[in-house]
Amino acid sequence: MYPEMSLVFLTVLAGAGQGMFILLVILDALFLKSGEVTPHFLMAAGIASLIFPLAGMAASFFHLGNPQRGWKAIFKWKQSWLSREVIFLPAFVGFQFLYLLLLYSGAPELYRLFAGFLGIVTAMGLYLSSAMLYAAIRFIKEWATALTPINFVLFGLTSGAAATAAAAHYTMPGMTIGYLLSYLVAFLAAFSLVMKGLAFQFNATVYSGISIKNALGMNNPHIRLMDTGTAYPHFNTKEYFFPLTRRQNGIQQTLVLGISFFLPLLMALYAAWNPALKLGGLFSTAAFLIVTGLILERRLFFIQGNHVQNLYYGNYRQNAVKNPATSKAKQGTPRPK
Amino acid sequence: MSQKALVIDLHKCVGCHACAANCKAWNTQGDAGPLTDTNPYAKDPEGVWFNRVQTYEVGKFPEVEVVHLPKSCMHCKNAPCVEVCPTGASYKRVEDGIVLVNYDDCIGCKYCSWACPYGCREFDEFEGVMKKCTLCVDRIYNEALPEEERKPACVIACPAKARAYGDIDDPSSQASRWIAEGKGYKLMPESGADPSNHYLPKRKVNIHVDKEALLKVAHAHINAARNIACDTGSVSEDVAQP
Repeated sequence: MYPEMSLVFLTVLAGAGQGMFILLVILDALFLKSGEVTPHFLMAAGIASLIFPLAGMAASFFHLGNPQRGWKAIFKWKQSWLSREVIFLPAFVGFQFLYLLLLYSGAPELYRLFAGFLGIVTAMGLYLSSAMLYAAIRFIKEWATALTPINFVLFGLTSGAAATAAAAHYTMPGMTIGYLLSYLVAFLAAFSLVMKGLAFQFNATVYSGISIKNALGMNNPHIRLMDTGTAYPHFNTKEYFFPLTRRQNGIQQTLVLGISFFLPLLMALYAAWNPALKLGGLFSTAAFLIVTGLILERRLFFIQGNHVQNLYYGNYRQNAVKNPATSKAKQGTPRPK
Repeated sequence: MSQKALVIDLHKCVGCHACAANCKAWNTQGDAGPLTDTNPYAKDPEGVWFNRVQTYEVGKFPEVEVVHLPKSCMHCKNAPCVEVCPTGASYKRVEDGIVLVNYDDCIGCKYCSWACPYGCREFDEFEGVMKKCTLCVDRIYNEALPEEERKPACVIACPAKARAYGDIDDPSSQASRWIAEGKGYKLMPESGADPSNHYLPKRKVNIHVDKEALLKVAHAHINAARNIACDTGSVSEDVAQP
């Protein structure tokens, strides 16, 4: 699929904001009373977490052909994940704003935490709906997998945790929470590294079982495209296909894993072993690396998506993967009678 | 229930693109238009087409045939594009099963085109809305047109008479008879979309050529040529002596 950068920025930036806000509310509920986190930290990090989804929302408007009537997308929430995403995004930003307002005005803890709780609920709804939007397209095997929603949540939490850790180190240097957060960042980055590796492995070996024979309804092993018809290239050959060689794919996969997860993992481990140092700069670098890497990751996620429509234009990437049923049969597995 | 659709006979289709050209011509000025273009008269023209014809070579020489596949919206019974539309701009009409886009509600998010397994929706960059085949809904019910012209533009244009239009749920319609008699099939049935447009497969044509009959025809031609030559008074050697 063509990597639409507005959608890349929307999902990555909003995801980071959601992860940050979820962590903030949890830290608020657990540690504010005991004084292990300061209201100053909550406020600073809260404002940062509000900027992320707002930037994502601004980017999303560039995707629409008619943004002025984008509000109409709330109508079909019963059937469309996109509609649910359009509802959850402003709801999440609204609860974030309400939470910060209650924090600033010094309102009772119960109200503030309730607004925060609703923010967490809408953040999870936003993660789920923006991931299911892709996972629900059953004609793109690379997207229609459980790894898509899991990774959207996981990567959002990882980038959010790194940004929260940076804010903690800047606003309350030398406190225990910053030290604990380095462990959290390390854990999430390691987990993300494994899950993205699994997703790349899945994409490389996914068996689609569909070919030009199905697309044309002709049972002949030799079918060759001769003419693509009027005005080539056009929407169908540009929207659904983006050229990617095996070598480029390998390089980009390595960059994604290295920049977004492996380097931040090393940084977080370094921070965890050196609790005495001032580490605001280190964690802001880590957060920047994760977000940059995730932009590359989300772009590659689009490019690796292989739509069955490409069969008609000879653009379908046929993986060298054998049909599992027949390859097993060849190895001597008894066939069902 | 009624489901209007097209039936395309791949055996008769000669790949002349007349259906695509007439579709573009009618729809760019019809209710669904304009179908905008970039560089229409320049080197790389690009634009919205509701109907496109792809050509494939099937088989290996000498057992080979050329297949032209005209492809427009399938008006699926279980349309995946309609399910995903966030605004309800994409809808399937109950009365005749035609899938349409309400341009006034479309926000141009392109999500429906991702959900279509056949690639039959095209985005209009200029108007920022998704466009697609309307089955010439502005022709088939148009009382200003004579009765015999109330058909999709592609069906009227086809010089090989390779396209039929009708209600595929009505067994007496021309479309249903074509499907029944010509073993009509659907493209990519595993998509689960249950497309309404059907295609009739290429048929094997065997012509027996016998030597005597061939010689008979050849001699008839030679004699005719000789007679013409005699009439005009100029007899060349090879015609005079076969």
